[in-house]
Amino acid sequence: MRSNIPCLAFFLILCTVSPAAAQGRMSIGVGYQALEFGEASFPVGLNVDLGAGIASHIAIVGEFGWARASTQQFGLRDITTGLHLAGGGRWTIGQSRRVRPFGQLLVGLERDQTEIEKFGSDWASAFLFQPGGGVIVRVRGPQDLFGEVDLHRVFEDGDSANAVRLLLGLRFTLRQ
Amino acid sequence: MRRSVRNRLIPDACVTAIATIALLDGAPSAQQSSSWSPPENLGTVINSSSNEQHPVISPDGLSLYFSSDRAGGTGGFDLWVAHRTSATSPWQSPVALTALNSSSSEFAPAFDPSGQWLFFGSERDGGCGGRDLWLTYRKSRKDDTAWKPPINLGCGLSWPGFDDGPAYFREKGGLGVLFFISDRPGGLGGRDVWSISHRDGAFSAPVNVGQLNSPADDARPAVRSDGLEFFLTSQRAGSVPQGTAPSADLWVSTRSSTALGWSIPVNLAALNTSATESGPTLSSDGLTMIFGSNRPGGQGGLDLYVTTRTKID
Repeated sequence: MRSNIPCLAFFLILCTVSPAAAQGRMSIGVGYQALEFGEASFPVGLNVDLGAGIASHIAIVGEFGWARASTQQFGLRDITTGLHLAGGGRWTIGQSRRVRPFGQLLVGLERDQTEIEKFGSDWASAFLFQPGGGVIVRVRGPQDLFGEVDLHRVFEDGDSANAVRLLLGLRFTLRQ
Repeated sequence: MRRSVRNRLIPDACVTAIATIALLDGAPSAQQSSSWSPPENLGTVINSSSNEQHPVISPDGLSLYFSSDRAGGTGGFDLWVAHRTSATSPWQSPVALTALNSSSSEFAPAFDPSGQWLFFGSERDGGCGGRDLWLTYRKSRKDDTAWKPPINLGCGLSWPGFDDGPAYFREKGGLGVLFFISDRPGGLGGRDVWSISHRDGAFSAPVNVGQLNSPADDARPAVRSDGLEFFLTSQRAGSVPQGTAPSADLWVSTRSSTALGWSIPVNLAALNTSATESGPTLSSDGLTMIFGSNRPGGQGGLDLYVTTRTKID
């Protein structure tokens, strides 16, 4: 199941954006992400997103992210890996400009695995709520650079935790 | 993975008031609080005719762990847990923590602030001799059946004698300190309070916390979540006498900063009797204390009692 998650995630993202894609531009973004929970940091991460425009300023977005943190707890190695899958909408201002700010709101699921030396590994799932925004800079033709800051809020075990997510990457627009 | 930040401003003008309250209460405190209420027995749902001792309240306040030699355990003293649905709901019947118990005895559980790590003392096989400190972990903070098989903290920290009574707190800057009780050489006499610290990595070498100790047995501490108030059990001079000898009483010490030393412990006279009062635990907000006592009026042996105080703004 664990090895099928990336494939399942990609399939679900495609299903989410395909209907909307029939109406407008599609885009694919790949970026480096870092998560900061305050007491825990995930400095290594990767994010892939697919977007499909449904209006001039609005796109439906699906994304899949992976993050990893390696720390020590009481002298024991602790490696935590987080996977998240989310969907929602992105609002971009000034489609014809070179520099375009955007806002985004996604909801989804997060599943993380914690592996602690001498204690083995465990998985846990959480609901994800992720509002955010950033800036897109046109580089050349359909290629854009983007930077994004999100509130990455997870709900687990009746509690919630907030993280700040930084995302930097490239986005390619697939014109229709 | 969440962080709570507390800001407390104590103008100099209030220091005198705090000291006055503390003298009435038995000790100065950086957190302005009322006196402790008269202790109340936790009743027959929690207490039995056997011993209930060494309680600890989970960080979310909804689980009460304690050690008991009641029937239904695995052998000797075992760890038990009682739940409640909210901070104002009654405790439900305790169940044995079978994932953690052994045919030997388990004592003195203590959480880290996340509620995912639990320290306790045990005489089980695989230790360093005598009673050792053990550590266990769970992914889910709400699932008391999810604890992993415990590991020994290691013979570099434990010694062949007595190591027990853990109490843990973590400073805002990330330094974690584990207080525990040991009869190892280098103390002031009998069992003393020792500490080890860490910042993500391995623990430091044990250090005797001389300011808290006495020539008598000093035992089972509890430390407030901000690290500024310390409760312990002691039979030192000044304890309420039981016949011709001092009984085990609750004592309290404070400090105004985690960088500073502890005050001389003061007897919590309002809570102590000529019987035994021992093994206190504090709620995460520092306003509820549960401790063990064999004072008259209980169910038999040591029972768990609760006392509360209110914060003075």
